[in-house]
Amino acid sequence: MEGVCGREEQGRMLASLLGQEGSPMPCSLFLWGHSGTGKTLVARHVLRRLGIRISHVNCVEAFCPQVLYEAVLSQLRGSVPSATTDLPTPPTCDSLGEFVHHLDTVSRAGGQPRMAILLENCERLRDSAANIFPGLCRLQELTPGINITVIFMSTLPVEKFRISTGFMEPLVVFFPQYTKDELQEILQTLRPSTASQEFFKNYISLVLSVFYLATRDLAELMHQVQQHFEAYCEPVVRGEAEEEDVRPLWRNIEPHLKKALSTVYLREVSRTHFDKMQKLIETSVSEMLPSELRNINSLSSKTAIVELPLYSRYLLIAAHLASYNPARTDRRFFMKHHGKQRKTQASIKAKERCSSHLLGPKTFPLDRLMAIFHSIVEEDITPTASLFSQLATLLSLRLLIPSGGDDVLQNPKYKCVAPHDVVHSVCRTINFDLSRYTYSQA
Amino acid sequence: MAGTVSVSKGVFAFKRPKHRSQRHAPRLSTLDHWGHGYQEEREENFKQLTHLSYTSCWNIASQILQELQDNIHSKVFQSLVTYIDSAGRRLTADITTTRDQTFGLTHALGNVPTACLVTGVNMPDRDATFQSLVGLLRSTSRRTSPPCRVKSAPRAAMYRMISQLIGGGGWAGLQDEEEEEEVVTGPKVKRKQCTMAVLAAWYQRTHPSSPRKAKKEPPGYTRSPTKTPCSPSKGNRSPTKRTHPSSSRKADKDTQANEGSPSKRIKSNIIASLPERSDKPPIVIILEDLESFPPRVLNDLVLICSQYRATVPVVLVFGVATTPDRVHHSLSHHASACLAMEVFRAQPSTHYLTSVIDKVLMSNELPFHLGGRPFKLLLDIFLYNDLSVENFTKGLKVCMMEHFMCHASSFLCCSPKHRQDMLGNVTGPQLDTVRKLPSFRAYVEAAPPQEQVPLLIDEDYTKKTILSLLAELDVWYARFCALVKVANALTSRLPGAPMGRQVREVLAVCLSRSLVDTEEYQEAVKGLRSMAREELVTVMQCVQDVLEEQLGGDEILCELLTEVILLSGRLSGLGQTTEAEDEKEAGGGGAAVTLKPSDRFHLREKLLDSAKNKGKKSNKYECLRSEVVQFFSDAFASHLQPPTTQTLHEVLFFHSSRAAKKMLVGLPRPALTTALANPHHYLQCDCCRLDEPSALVTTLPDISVAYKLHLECGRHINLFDWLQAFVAVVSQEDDEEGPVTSSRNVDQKLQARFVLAVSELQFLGFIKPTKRKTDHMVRLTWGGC
Repeated sequence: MEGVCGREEQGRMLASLLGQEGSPMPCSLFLWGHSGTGKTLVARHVLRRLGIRISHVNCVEAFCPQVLYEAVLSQLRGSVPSATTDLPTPPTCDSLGEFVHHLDTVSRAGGQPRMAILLENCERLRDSAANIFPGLCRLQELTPGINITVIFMSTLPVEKFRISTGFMEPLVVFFPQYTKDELQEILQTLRPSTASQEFFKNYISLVLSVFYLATRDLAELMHQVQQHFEAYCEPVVRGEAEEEDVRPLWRNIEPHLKKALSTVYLREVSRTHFDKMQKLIETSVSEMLPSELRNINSLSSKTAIVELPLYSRYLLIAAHLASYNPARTDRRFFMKHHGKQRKTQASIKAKERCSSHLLGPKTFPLDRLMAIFHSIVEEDITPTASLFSQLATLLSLRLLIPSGGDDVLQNPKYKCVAPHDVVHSVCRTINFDLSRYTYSQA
Repeated sequence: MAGTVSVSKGVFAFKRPKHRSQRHAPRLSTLDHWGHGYQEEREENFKQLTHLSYTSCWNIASQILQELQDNIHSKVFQSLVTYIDSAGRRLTADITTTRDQTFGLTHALGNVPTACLVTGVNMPDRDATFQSLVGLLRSTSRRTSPPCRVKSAPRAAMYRMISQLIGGGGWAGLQDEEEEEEVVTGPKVKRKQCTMAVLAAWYQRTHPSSPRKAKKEPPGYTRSPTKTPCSPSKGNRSPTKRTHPSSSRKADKDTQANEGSPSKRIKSNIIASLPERSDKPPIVIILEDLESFPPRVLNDLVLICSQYRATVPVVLVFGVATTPDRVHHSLSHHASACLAMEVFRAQPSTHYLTSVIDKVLMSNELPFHLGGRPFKLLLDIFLYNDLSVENFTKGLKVCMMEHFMCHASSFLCCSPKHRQDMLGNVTGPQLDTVRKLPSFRAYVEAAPPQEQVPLLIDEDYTKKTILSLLAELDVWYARFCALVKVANALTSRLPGAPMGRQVREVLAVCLSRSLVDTEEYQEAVKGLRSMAREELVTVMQCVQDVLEEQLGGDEILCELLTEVILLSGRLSGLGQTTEAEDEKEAGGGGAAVTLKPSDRFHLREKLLDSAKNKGKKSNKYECLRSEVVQFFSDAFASHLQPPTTQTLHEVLFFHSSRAAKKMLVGLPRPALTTALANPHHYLQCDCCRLDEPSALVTTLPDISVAYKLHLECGRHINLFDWLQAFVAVVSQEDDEEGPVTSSRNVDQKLQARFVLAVSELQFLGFIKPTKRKTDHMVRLTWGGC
C-alpha cells in the first residue's frame, strides 16, 4: 500500500473482501467516513491493484437514474461519450431492467471481467428514484453470472440509508479521521523539491499546530500549507534566518497563520490577489476626495455596505422591523399618540422569554410593511410603481424572501432575511436609529 | 392560424408561423409617430425639422453614452480577463502535468478558479455590463457560456449550460429567437446527453493536448502562473475556429453586426495588453445574478466543476450584486472550499452617473439641455428609486423626445454648425413660433425701439439675431457649468456640506434658482467665513484647478481666473506676515495688562475692553477672507442665474417636468381610481363624459357604476342594497318610463352584470367578502374619488 499512508488497515480489509483474481466478490460494500479520509483513494488503489474494471461516478452529477446508468455503462465499456449525433450513440438506458441487460452484454463482450461500480456521495441517491438504492444493493442477485460489486461511498453512516423495501445490508468499512501524525506524514508529500526534508517538516508542524483545532479536513490543510509556504520561506530567501532557526521563522509566519485562521474554508482571495488589492486601494486613495475615501474603506472592510437606493434602504429597514417586532407593538412604535405603556413584571418576563432575535424573522404581510415604511420615512411618498419594483429588487437580492401565504395576489407575505450587520450598516448610512424602534431593545 | 382536423375539444398549441417577410417590410421609425402633440395647422415641414433635430441630438447623446459605457468598466474588465487568462493557463498546465501523478494529489489542487464580480444592485445596468463582458470574452476566442439566469433544477441548469457550450458553439449568446435557429445548425446536443462527461469528451476532442506541453512541474507548486510552462502558441489559429466552422461563421457575423459595439472597442484596448493566448482556452461560465440562483444548484455546480477540473478547465464568473460574502452564504463550506475566488469590483453606479452628467448634461456637445425640474426629477428617480444609469438615460431620452415633440421652436436645438441651414429653409409663419416665445418677446420689448420693428417684421434680421442669441446662449451655458463646478469645489469640503458634496447637487440647485438667493448658499457662506487659512488656501487651489480646466477660451472665465490667482497669491503672501503681526499683537496685549496687582477692578475692565476690541477689529486675514467670499458671491450672482432668465432658453432647455413625470413615474393606484371614477379620462368616449367627477351617469361601464355606488357606503356593504342601487342606475337607460320591476325579481342579466362588476372590484382589492355578516362585503379603501 505505498502512496497511501495511514490507511493500510482499510486497504487490507478491502483487498481481502474483494479477493484474488477470479474469486467472487461481495454484493455491495459501503465505505464511510468524513470527507478527506481517503475513501476514494484507497478504493481506487485497491481496485486497480486487483485488476478490477472500474466505473467511478459522482452521484452529485447523476441528477436522474438514466445519467447514472449511462455513465456507468460507458465507463465499463471503455467508450467515450460523445456530444454530437454524427457518431453512433450508445443505446439509451433509463430503467434498472435495461441497465441489468446492458451490463450483461458489456460483461460478455469483455470476457466476464471483474467489475466494480464506485459511487461517490451516494447519499444523493436517496433523493433519486425509489428503487435505485435497493436495486444497486442487490445488483448481483439481478445479474447472475456477472462478477460485479457496487461500492458506495458516503460521509453518512449506513443507518441513514436503511429503507423498508428491498434493502440489503452492505459490508461496511469505516474510515476514521487521520491522526495528527498521519496528517503530518501526508502533508509531507507536498514538499517541493527545493525545500529540505527537515525544513518542510518544521513548517508542517507549525501549520498543523495552528490549524489543527480549527479544521482537520485534509484538503483544507493542504490548501493552507501551500498558501503560506512562500511567506514562510521569505526570511531564508532574504538571508535573515537559517533553515534551522525555528524561532525567527515562527515569529515571521505566526501573524500570517493567525490571520488565515479566520478564513478557513473561505477561499476568498489568494495571497497575491490580496496584496494587489491593498496596493490598488492605496493608489486610488491618493486620487480621491475624502468623501469617497470613506466609501472605499468601508468597501474593503469585511462587512461591506450594500449600495442601495434611498427608498430601498428604508424598505429594508421597515422589513427588518416588521420581521422582528411583534405586530401588536406596532401601535406603540409607529404612532404619534400611542398612550403610555406600563411595565409590569409579567411583560418584562414575557419579553425575556421570547427574544425575537433568537427566534428568527417572522413573516409579515405587504400591507404592514408599507405602513411601517410610510411611518418611518419623514416625507410624504406617493406609492409609485418604482417603489414596488424596489421591493421586487430586494426580493431578487434575497434580502427579503417571499414566505408562504395562501393568497399570493391579494396579500403576499414576506420575511426579512438580511443579516443584522447589513441592516445596521444601512441604518448608519441614513442616520436611522434602529434601536428606538426595535422591540427587544426598547 | 390553421384549424385542426381533430374532433375533440382540446386546446391545441400552434407554433407561431415565421414572419420572414417582416424583415423586409419597411421598419417603423419614430417619425411615423412623431408630432402627435402638434395641432392640425402645423405643417408637415415642422415635423420633419424637429424629428431631424431630435435624431441628430439623440445620436450625439447615445454616442457619448456608449463611449462612457465602454470606458467605465474597462479597468475592471481588463483585470478580470487577465485573471481568466492566467487561471485558464494554470488549469491547462495542471491538466497536462498532473495526469501522471498519483490520483490523490490532483484532488488537493482541485480549486475552481472563480472571479466574483461585484456589480451594484441596479438591475437594468447589469445586463449591459455582462453583455459587454461576454462580448469581450468571446472576442478573445474563449469558450464562454452566456450569462446563465435562474434555473430551478440542476438538470435544466446543466442542459442549458452544456448545450450552449457545445451546441451553440459558445457563441449562442444574446441573439433573439430568430437567430437561435441558425445556431442549432452546429453540432446538436440531445437533452439527455448533457453531462459533464460529454463535455469533457468534447473538450478533449476539440482541443487535443499538444505533446510538447507535458513538461513536469513539482506537484503543488504550479499555482503561480509565472511558474507554469508557457504553452507554445500556434500562431493565431484558434482551435475553436478549426473545429466549428459554423460557430466561427457566427462569430464573424456577430462582429459585423455590431461593428463598433462596446465589446469590440474594449477588446481592442485590452487585447494589446494581453499575453499571448494559450491554445487550450478555458471554459468560462458566467452566472449573472448569484443571489437569485438556488443555492442547491449552485452547490452542485461547484462540486461538479471541481470534480471535473482535471479534464475540463472551467473558470466561473459570479455576478454578485451585494457583497462577496453572499457566495459563502449560499454555498456549503464543502463547496466553497472548492473555489479559489478573487473579487473584482465594478465601479459604483453613482460614479457612472457623475460622469454621465459631466459628459452629457454639462457640456455643449449635446445642444439639448435639461432644465431644473426635469433634472431634479431624473436625479430623484436615480437616487431614491433605482440607482440605475440605464434608466437615467432612458429618462433623458424621454425628456428629449418630449421637448422636440411639444415645442415647435425646438427645431433650432441642433449643433451650432447646422443652425444656419436649419434657419435657412424656414418660412415666415414658422419663424413666428420663435417670435412668440416669451423670452424672445421680452427681448424685443427690451430692445431699443428702432430695432423692435425689424425684429418683428424682417425675416433675415430676425434670423441673424436668433443665431447670435443662440451662440450667446451656448457660451453662457459653458460658463454656467464651469461656475457650477467652481461652486462645488468651493463648498464641497465645508463641514456638513450645506450644498452637497457632488456636482450634481449644486447643478440641480443652480438650474432652478439663482444660487446666491438660496438658503443653502447662505449656509455655505457662513461656513466659508469661518474657515481657517490653510483650508481656504487649499480650497482656492481647487477652484483654480477647476477654472483652469474649464477655461476653454472664455474671456469672463479668464478674468475670474486671474482674479482667483491674485487672491490666492495674496493669501499665501499673508502667511509670512500675519504670524509676525499676531505675535506683535499678542505681545502688545500682554504689555497692556501689566497693572498693579491690587487693582482688580481695573484689570477686569481692561480685559473686557481688549476683548471687545479684538472682536471688532479683524486682522488682515479676516479682511481678505471676506473679500474672497464677496468676490465669489458677486461672480455667482452675475453668472449663476437659472437658464430661464436667458433669452431663447425655451429652444435649448426642457422645463416641463410634469410631462416627463407622467411618463417616467408610474402611479398604479391613482391610475386605477381615475379609471374607475372617470372612465372618460382613458376611454375618450362621448357617452362617459362627466360634468363633475362624482357624477353618476347610466352609460358608465358597470364596474365604474358599482365602484361609485360602493363609495357611498360605510365599512360594511349590504350586497342586496348594492344590487338594488345598481339595478336602479343601470335600468334607467333601458326603460325610463316603466317602473322598476318588483324589487324581489331582478333581471337575471342585470344580476349577472352586477356580480361580474363586484368580483372585478374584489380582484382589484377594493372590497373583500366577510364572515362577520351574511351577504355583506367589507370595504378596504377609504376616501372619495
